[in-house]
Amino acid sequence: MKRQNVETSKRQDIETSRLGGAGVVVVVLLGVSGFFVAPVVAGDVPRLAIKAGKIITMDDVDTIVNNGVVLLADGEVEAIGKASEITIPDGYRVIDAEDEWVVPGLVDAHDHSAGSLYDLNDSVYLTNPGLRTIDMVVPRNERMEDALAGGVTTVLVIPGSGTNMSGFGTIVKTYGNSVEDVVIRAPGCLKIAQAGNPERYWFGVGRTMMNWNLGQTLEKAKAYHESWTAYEKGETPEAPQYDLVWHGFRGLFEKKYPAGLHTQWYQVYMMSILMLHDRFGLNIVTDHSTFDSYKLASFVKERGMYSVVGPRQFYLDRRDRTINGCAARFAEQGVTRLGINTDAPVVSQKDLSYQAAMACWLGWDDHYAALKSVTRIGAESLLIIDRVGSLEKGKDADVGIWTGSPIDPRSQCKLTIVNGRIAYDAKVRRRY
Amino acid sequence: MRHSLIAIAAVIFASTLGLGGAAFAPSSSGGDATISEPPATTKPDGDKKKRGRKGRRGRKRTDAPTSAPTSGPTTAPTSAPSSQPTTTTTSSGPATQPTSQPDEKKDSYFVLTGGIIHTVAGPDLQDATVLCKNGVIQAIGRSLAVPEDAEILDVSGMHVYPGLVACSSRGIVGSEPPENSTDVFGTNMTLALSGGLSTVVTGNTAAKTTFGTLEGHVLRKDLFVKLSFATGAQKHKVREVLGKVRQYLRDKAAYDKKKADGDGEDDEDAEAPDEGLVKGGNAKYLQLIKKEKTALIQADAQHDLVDVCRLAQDFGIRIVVRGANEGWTVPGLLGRADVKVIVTPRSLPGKNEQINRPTGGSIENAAVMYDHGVDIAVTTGSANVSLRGIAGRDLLNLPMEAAYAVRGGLPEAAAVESITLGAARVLGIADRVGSIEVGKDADFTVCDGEVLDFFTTVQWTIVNGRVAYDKKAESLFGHIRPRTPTTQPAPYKFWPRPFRRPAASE
Repeated sequence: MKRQNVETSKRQDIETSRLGGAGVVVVVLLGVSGFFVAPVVAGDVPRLAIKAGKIITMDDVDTIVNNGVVLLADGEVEAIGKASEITIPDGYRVIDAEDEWVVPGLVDAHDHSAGSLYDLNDSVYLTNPGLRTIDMVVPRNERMEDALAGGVTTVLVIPGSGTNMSGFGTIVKTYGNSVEDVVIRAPGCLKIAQAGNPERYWFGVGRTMMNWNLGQTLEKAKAYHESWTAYEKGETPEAPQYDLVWHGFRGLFEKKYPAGLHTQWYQVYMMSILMLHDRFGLNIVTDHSTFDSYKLASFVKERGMYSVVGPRQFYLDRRDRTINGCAARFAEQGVTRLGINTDAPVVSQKDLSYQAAMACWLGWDDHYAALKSVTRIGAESLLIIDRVGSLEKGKDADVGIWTGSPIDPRSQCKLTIVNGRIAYDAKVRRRY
Repeated sequence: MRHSLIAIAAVIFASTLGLGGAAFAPSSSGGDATISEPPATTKPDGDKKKRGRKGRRGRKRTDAPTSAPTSGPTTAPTSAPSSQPTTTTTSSGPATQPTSQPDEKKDSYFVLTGGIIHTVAGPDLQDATVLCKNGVIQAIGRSLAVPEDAEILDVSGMHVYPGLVACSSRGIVGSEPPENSTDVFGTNMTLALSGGLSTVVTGNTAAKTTFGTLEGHVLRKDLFVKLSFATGAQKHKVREVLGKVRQYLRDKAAYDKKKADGDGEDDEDAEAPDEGLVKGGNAKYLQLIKKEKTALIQADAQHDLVDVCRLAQDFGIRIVVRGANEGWTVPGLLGRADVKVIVTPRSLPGKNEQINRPTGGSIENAAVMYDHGVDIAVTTGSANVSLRGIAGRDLLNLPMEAAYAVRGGLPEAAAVESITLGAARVLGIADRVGSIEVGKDADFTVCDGEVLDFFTTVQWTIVNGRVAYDKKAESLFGHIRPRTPTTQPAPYKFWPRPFRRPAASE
């Protein structure tokens, strides 16, 4: 019975993985379909020093610091180290967490609750290219307060799975006053839903039609992207006509953001990978990945893809009468790029860490990997690891302070910090 | 010799635990300790050799030493089936028993050895042995002499808890009355056992998860008098009827006294109170006033809870509240009124911002009520075993619900109690289940770790002294962290948990 025990590992130099200093972020607005990078608001962000019992940095060498100090300034992590090595400068508000764990803000890579829940499924066509969730982000809603109470600081808000292609998702922080405040990247992903829910569409389409239709839509997008690429390379003299619907797909084919897939069941899962990864060459993240999808773990491993499992965590295989933990089955076949999601509001955002706990109960024997699945892996899969998902110098100051391992349901999230600001304090108003 | 050792141990333990009357020495004269059992001829031959058939019957036997006069509730002779031929003797004399059916009287012994026994009623015992006879715990201790024919289960290093108790359930056992429709081989029952449940409530009946047999299935019927106490009209009605019934009892007592004391002349003037007041629909209220029964009321909002407490105090009745989401706002009141509570820690309805008082749910609910002396039972939000795949919210993970109460500040021992002895107490079945004590039912949940740990899986569930679930033998979970002969649960402590209460939120 292997139970990973997290012990202090070698402290390694933490690289600055992000260029530029505080608040120096380029804001690019390329019309409706370009990249939207929110500025980190500088100014009144407090300077915080956290004295921590244990710091799980989740950096790429898995550094863990016992009895450490984290300095947060200007919305970024300024320094992390042993308490003996870091002197807390004057002017820092000291947070005493000497009995507690300090972990990165959790990342939920599949979520609907940061937006207006009524506008999830605009099932106009079977594929709806061009729709965006950034227009429906509601920065301070009740469900976001739940997220903060569960230590969740970053979510990918995506449209529903009522149609095969339901629009572009948006990566947001769970705390902030305006849409500009919270958005990390838009588009965060392209949402594609395979089988299951889209079968409820008007005329009861089946998988044959859906695969053909989705493929056709993507072929159009690809042709548009290729015509612009050819023009930019000087291969064609005349600029193609600008098209609002298809321009947003250019980033998808340039792999600036992934396609987030609602896909589950063996056949559907296989078809998703073959079509979207192999045929169109997209960067895909298989969300859900439940039921018997784990039978294709070798597909995922070979292609180096990210799988984000949930909200279902187990599958009853009626043929051999076994209960199979989906994450456990992926992990035992060597898949390490394994995340966990809530699909909030299906499972409340505050239970993201509990989803990982259940994955452990169902056979995933790696406590550390489970914690990683809701922090670093989520950020990596969404290509935002340069900003969130781990505690490293220069990254966003998104921190959770817990009374123990966040995965353990007995542990309480006492304090959540987003962009250097205290977003949730259980002492003031405890929610979970 | 061997038996007398057990007897001594049993008596020692029984007296320590205040259950002196519940443990008896097996007769040393050939093991025929069931002398007052109705004659074996009343049973069909086909059932004689099945071990399982003996489980619950054993409880009702008078295992008293043959020399002792049968005092107290010696139920066996009187509980003989009424269909019994009248010619059959019901004499309890040892000499008159026919000896032609020795198998029928053979006792079944079940022994757990080597585990860490979480008795819940007392301290945890390392490496202790639990000896069970006919489905009842007979002795707990070290170096117990074990009968030769005992079934021995070595649970070295495992954590042994009392069988878990679910205060409500759907689909695990049959609908009420469960004995008519329970599928004892059903997957749902196996799933419940895999979650460590040995006792579940269906409707108003407590039933055991007796896999494979209906023997000893029903634990107790008519647990509660269910009262509708939500609307104003319902509250008026309950109080009115209780008032009438109480007045009847007072009038009756006065009348009886007068009759007894009187010189005869007054008797004829005295008018007996109307017995119709305590008949029919009012009979259950009489049971409440007499404290023969406990009322079960669904209430969540603060004002409903306040009304429930007043009801309990005004009429001196026993009440169990199911829900109590806002119990944390009036915990002292609940404690003083001795209202017991069935609570779901993760039931967290939102705050009502339009009311100027604390409202809504709180994760600290169970802890706050516990601190104020309220008896709590913890149950899950959904009362079934779910195969939908959304894990951790149903009775497959009852201990996780208790773990959330720990998150809210409940001490871990109290959290374990809330799904075992505490739940049994709330249900009024703590005389039978809920703790590992001599005289209680042999129901155990054997885990490979502490039951509140999210890595812990149930390895065996034992109900009425029978192994009802063995993880290794079941395909469902057997492949998850498979148990090998050398499996030893790791002394697993990921991080020393601070055992101090988190600061109360304002």
